[in-house]
Amino acid sequence: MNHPKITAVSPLVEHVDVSSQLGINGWRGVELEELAFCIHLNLRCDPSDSQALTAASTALGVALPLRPNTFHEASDIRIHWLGPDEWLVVAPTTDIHLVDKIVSAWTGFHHSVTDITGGQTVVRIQGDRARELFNHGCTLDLHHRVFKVGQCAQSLLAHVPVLISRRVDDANGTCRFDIVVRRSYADYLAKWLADSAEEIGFVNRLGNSQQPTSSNNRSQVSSASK
Amino acid sequence: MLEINCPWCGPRDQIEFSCGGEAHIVRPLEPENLSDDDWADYLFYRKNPEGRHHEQWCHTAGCRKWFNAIRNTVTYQFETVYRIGEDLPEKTSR
Amino acid sequence: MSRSLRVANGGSIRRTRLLSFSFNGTLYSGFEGDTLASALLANNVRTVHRSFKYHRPRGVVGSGAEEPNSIVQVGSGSKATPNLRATQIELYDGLTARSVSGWPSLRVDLYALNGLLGRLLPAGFYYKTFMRPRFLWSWYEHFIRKAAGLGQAPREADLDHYDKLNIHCDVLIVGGGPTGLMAARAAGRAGARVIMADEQAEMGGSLLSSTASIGGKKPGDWVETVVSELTRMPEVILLPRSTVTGYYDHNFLVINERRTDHLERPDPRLRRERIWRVRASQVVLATGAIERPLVFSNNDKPGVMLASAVSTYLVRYGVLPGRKIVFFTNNDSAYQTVLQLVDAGMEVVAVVDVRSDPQGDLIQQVRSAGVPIFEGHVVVDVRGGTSGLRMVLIARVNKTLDEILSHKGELRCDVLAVSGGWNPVVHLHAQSGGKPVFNEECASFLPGPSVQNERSAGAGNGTFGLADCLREGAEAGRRAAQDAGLTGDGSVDIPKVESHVEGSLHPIWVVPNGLAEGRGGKKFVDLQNDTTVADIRLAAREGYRSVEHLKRYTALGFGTDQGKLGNINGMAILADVLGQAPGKIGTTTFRPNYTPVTFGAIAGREIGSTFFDPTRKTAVHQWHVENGAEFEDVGQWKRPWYYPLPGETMNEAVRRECLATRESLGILDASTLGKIEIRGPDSAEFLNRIYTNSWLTLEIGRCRYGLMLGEDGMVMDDGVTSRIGEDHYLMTTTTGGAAHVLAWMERWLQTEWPHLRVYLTSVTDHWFVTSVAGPNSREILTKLCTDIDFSADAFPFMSVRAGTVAGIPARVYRISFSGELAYEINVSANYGRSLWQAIMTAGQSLNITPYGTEAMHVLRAEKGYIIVGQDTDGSVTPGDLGMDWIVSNGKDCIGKRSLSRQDTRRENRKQLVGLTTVDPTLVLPEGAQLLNEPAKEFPAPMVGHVTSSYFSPSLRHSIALALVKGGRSREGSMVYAQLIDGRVIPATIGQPKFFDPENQRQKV
Repeated sequence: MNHPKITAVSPLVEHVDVSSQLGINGWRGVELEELAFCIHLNLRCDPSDSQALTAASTALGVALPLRPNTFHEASDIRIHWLGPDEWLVVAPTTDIHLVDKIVSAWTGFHHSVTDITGGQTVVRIQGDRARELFNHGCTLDLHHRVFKVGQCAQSLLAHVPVLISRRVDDANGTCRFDIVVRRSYADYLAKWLADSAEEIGFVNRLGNSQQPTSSNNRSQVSSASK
Repeated sequence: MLEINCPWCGPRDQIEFSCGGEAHIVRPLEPENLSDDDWADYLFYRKNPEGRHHEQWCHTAGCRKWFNAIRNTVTYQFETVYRIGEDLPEKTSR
Repeated sequence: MSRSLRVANGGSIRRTRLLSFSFNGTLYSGFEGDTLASALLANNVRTVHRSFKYHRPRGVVGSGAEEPNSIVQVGSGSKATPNLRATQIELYDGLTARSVSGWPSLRVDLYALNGLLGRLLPAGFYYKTFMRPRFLWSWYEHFIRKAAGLGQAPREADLDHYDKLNIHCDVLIVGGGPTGLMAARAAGRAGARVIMADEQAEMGGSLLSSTASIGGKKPGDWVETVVSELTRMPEVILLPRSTVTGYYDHNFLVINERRTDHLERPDPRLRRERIWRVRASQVVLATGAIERPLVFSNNDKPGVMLASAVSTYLVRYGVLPGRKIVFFTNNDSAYQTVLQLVDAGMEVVAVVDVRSDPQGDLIQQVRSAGVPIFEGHVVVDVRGGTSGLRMVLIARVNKTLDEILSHKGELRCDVLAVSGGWNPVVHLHAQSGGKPVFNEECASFLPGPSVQNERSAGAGNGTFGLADCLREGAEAGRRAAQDAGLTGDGSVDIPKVESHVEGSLHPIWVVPNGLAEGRGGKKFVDLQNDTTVADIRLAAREGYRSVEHLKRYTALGFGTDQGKLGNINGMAILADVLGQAPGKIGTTTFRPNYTPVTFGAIAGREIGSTFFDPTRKTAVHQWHVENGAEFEDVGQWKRPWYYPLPGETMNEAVRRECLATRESLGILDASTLGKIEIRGPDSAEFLNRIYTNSWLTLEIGRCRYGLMLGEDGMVMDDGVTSRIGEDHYLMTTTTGGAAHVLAWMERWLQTEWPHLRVYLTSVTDHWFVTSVAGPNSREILTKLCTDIDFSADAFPFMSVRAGTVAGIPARVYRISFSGELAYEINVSANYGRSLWQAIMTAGQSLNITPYGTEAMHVLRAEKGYIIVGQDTDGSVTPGDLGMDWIVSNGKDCIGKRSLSRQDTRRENRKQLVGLTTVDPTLVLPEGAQLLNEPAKEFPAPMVGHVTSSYFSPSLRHSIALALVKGGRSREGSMVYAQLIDGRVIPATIGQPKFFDPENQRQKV
């Protein structure tokens, strides 16, 4: 039969509170934006298996970071250290063969590649007062001397589990962080961010994500169809 | 609010962790061959010392790894932390 | 009364900004820069409070956090804040305040009768008198509370917002006085991330009431220079109006910043208060010292003040608290105030000094200024009333200060300024784990050795000279930065200040009045709690020899001021009675908070339904909202509970949803179930150890129900796990148990079985899951999906297939929690809404009905399917549930050994049964206790309790699941639910299965 229109809905696309608000003294402290529809993959392998590591970096075009709390980045693919044997890959929607690439590279190695694309999203927080916003609900020390560009950390933000990464050096532009948040918490977190930024002011673009028209994002069944 | 040094991630706030109680309790290999008393000893009896205590913690909101720690239950100071499988950093009197 | 005590000029108040405020209903005026206390004094308001127990009139005593008397309630309605110190309230236009005690008014207080009956109200009076008969306590309490209360909690909801901020720093400096400013300067120059907090509106501390030049500048100008340097440092945060209220483990400190209370019309976006949660690498405690009062007869009368407070009111606020001031001291510091008054052209009547031969530069200066000094004298009593003092009576005292030699006569005055020495503020040091040590020289406690990364400096460290404070502060800041790992140059020049030789202090804890003990006017130690010398001595005689016991018996050191003025005197008096040194007695515990913190600040923004706890939503949450769902909280999840049509009650909606599912087609959002990917060659072996049943033979594409036990043998979680591929399984858990189960399994893998090659990954959020249940579910799946064969043979019950549903890649599980033919469709959550809408559209002709958790519960209870956490409570074994069949005999698993323990083998354990009420319309309350016969008396023997209970629309009968002692062998017998309202509901025990007991429907 003919199916009604199939559209992807990002975790924040139906977010209700999308208004922006100036802070005291006309401040515009932070900008909030969703980087929706990235491909998210959870990778597991034995970090002492150098062959598996080499195979992965060849397939992905970037090495798995082995230093705790760092991420590697190349041609729009970011690989975050989550644990000594666990990584998160965030890649553009268009990279639909990514799963197959890494799975075939790791054939024969004990590994796990799990597509969690539907389960999380990226929220970008940038602006002069971004750290202050984080400080309202996160106990990490995000000071620029401590949490440097290329570092990431899993922690709690407003009691919600998140992965925070520092993207750009303050000196080269605006202070910018990306946070990866689980889908089910995204709406709560968006409300919390707007509330916490009440005083410093915010430009809110959450909920304005463009929906991709493609229905060819089939990566999530590759494992089910075996 | 304690600051706990995850052996992987470094110092983090206590809220990121959960405490699993006493460390170095080994599960009996053949439970069926144990007496009720011996099984109860493994299952229920814990040291609860005043002072140095070997504990297992998990960096729940971080790297999800369990690790061992020696913590003083009087001062709340962590003497050391070490990864699962690593030897105790020194001989202790447990 | 209307005579203004404002001096013609001076002070740092802005005299061009006249403010009006009200106190106890009377309008007054003050200036910008005033505190409520300074403005009241300027308006010659002497009595600001009635005391706690005796209801004696009290006036302003101090000028800061130590103030015990001027406790007021500010604002009204939702804006009311009780128990603030007038000395710390910044005046703004329109401020309204009232005393928190005194009934019906401050001037005429009927409870003052207590004062006359004072001899009948000794320490412990309430404990001793109102204990018996016990049943009258609530009657007594009503009157005692009315008589005693401090302030009133507002009844209205607080409209203000409060928040919290977590921050890390290299050096936290507590106190912005001369010591703190120098420490901040040094640490800041070394490049440290510095936070400096001070409870006052501006930095400067004691310098704000000083007139001595510093580095060739006026004190205020010097402070401004330092502050402006600090403001320019990007890594330095200055926090005025911020009290460091507590010092906790691992150098974690809490600051309470008050941000809007001083503003007349604050921007509504501003949060009223902020809690700073600071993790500091190093801490410098530059907390200063609080002047100690002297304890003599009637020392609580309005007009008796601390000498340092007189300085503050004069120098900072341009208020002279009296026209004729007498000083009473045992040390040199009060002479500084005398000189300030003399320099300002004010009259100082005399100085009464307990020391027989005081020596020191300041004394010489006072003497040369012509102010009489009565050496070796004491004030034995004062006379005065609600409008101030009239005179003080003085007498010659012996060298050991414990005997009156001769009465000298009276000195007419309106204010008596007292100084008994200085108590360093060691609260935070003590909270950090340090033990304060008694120091004979200043007759007070000083910080002991550091336990955490903190150092004390300045007056808080017993260093009282300004020059020494500046030097010590700079050194503390420099070294703190160094210890925090900073390598920058933290050197600072020490500004030049006048120094003078000081004589030593002569401690005097109780001033004799020439009468027998207990005679003459009361000598107050703790003004806020009306604790007197006689109370302390009585307590000691009655055996309360520990200072902590003394505190609880006499109330010494309780209240909003926590004994900041009275504690040291009280401890010394106890030591004296016991014949011990004060150092031996020790201090009571210095608990947080240093000054009271509002509940609003403690709660922050974590309030209300939005922010109290995070909420989780499924991918089609918005659809549920748009379609009128009522929601139920399951853990942090918002789950649709039922979907009432217009005018429908909950019962009607649930009935409709149940019947539609049983008769045709229901649809449930089941996304919240925990989902864990299990991968690796040892996955089956791992499942074998975690679950009670066997997993080695499960074929690819098949599903199996599993029960998980704790090591104690009790049911912990359950769910269906499916084999997706060779080394690949998907486990589902209960909604509430997901995180716990994952952490639990990781623990076994990481710590006990690291050799097992298994990886676990949570995929709960990735998959949107909808259950399509009912006899027509196969039909709709066939409509929506063409690449899966849904025939019973090709796709049997308890199996999984991959395909495309409504054009969306999906995994379809044929499993059932309702007992009906049912399929669970899993798609990437990004496509959840599309899938849901496609199913709703395709199901219209089949009367597809969305059902919520309530209908889900009814349907599963009809089948006797348990819910872990509802029908189990951590004390239930598989055997108790009648599920022995699921525990495999051929292998070990977590918890199995516990199932053969004596207690778990025991007969007569509570077992899961079904109950049907005799009256089919009565639904038993869940949790109801079950008895074997209606109770004749209480307590009655209880044999079980109801765990789940519903009205079954399909059976048209109330059904329940219950845990009943030995229940399985009691089929057919009766139990009685005893309800709180007295009703007794009889019910019959049966099998925990009410509908389709042969499970035919789900297998068609």
